[in-house]
Amino acid sequence: MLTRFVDTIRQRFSRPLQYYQDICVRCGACIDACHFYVVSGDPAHIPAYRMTLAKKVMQGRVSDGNRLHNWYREAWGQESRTAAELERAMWECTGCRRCAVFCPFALDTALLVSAGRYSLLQEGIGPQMIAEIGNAEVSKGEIIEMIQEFYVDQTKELEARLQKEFAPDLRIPVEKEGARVLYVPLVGEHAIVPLAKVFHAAQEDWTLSLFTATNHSFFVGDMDKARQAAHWIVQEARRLGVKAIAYPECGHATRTLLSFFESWFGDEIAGIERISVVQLVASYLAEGRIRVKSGTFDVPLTYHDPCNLGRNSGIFEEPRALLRAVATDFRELTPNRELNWCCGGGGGLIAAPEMKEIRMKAGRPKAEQIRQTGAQWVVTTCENCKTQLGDLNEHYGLGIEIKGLVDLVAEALAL
Amino acid sequence: MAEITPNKVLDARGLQCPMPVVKTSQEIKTIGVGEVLQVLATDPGSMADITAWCKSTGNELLNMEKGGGVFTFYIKRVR
Ligand code: SF4
Ligand code: SF4
Repeated sequence: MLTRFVDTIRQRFSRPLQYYQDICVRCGACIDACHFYVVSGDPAHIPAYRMTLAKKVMQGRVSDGNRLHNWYREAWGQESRTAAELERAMWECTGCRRCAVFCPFALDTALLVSAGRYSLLQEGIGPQMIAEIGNAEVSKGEIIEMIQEFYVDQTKELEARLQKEFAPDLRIPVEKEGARVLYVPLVGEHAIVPLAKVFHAAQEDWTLSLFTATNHSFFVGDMDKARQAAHWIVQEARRLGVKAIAYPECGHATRTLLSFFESWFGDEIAGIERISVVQLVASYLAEGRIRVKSGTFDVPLTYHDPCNLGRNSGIFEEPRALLRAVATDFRELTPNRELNWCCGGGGGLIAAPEMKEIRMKAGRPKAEQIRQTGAQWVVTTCENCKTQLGDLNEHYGLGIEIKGLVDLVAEALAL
Repeated sequence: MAEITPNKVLDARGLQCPMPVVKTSQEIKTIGVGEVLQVLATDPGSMADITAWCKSTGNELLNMEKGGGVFTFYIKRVR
């Protein structure tokens, strides 16, 4: 029963995970912190129970190897029930770590979920699509030369357009050796255009990466592949001799950059600053390198702290400083910052079509929070959150618009 | 290159990452091994994404072309 799961998770069971299992006192403080449990009432969604369930399966308490017992359990559907429960416990989690903020021991359920997902995939349980996209990201470094020329052409076209529309001397350098900042975008020009404008205004010496920051292997807990995909970017940064790597408005990618690059790459990354564009753009404003027209936006707007930028990376004040500079009516969600509700779309769930229904359910606390503010715009700094908020808007009829933070800054630039 | 006649067409125009790849992966499963899926996309990033997806899944990218702001991929299902 679930033998591949058990074999794999045993290998992945680090000391911190063992301590977590030992120290949980079943106080229940985490129960109502999880948006999945709040909307479903399903015990498999209780953070502490996710841990207990994994332990039960690992200890073989579901199956004792006795064939008669196993036959009996099979006949009662116990095995498939446990597998289904485990699947919900590991995949219906966004890794938001809200539970850890409420737990008196800051017990990290998301760390277990990461190991659990990877182990379940060895059984073929879970959305294969997320892993498949992760594999493609690992392969990107091998095909990049094939598309490089095309990519540079494409960027030239975009540059020419922005020179016409925005500033005649705006540049979008690609693979520029010796640039200070390597900006790694997302797929799509929406992740390039606002940054190109802000970099231009700040007179930043930057260059555009051939790669994109997303790392779907990270979502499925496949840390070897996550590291491999990120390694292409580190190699690029070293080849170009840049001083800093800047990541776009993307939560999980930012978390890999700020929390994992150091342990993944050690000396290879020494001396190269790692920074989110949200921090970088806020520093331009604070240092007077860019100016914005204050009060550019006078619609009531709010800010959604993406779990991976806020709770998991501590980027709380920079986006607020930027918003206050450009908007007249900024309203906080309640609660916010480290207590903010997850949007329900994290953990890679956006990329798995079969997860749409649970995503919409799990986003209910977020939808209610937004409604309470009366805001017309919801600003955020993560691509996953943007997609999820857009879907919630439709599902719950919120009548809002979703905006990217750097987009607003770019629109409000005073040149 | 000789004209390629696709067995199925996927219109992924206007979709953002990672949707072109998600849809391509779903659609390829609906055609037979040896058959060809034509994918239309507008996002320039899909060029790298779909090429890399073909490489990692072992499906064969027969051709890719660009015209009128649309990228067209011809992918042969290999397995
Ligand atoms: S990390 Fe978030 S989604 Fe996962 S169990 Fe904790 S609160 Fe729930
Ligand atoms: S809050 Fe922490 S200690 Fe309490 S039940 Fe949850 S995980 Fe266990």
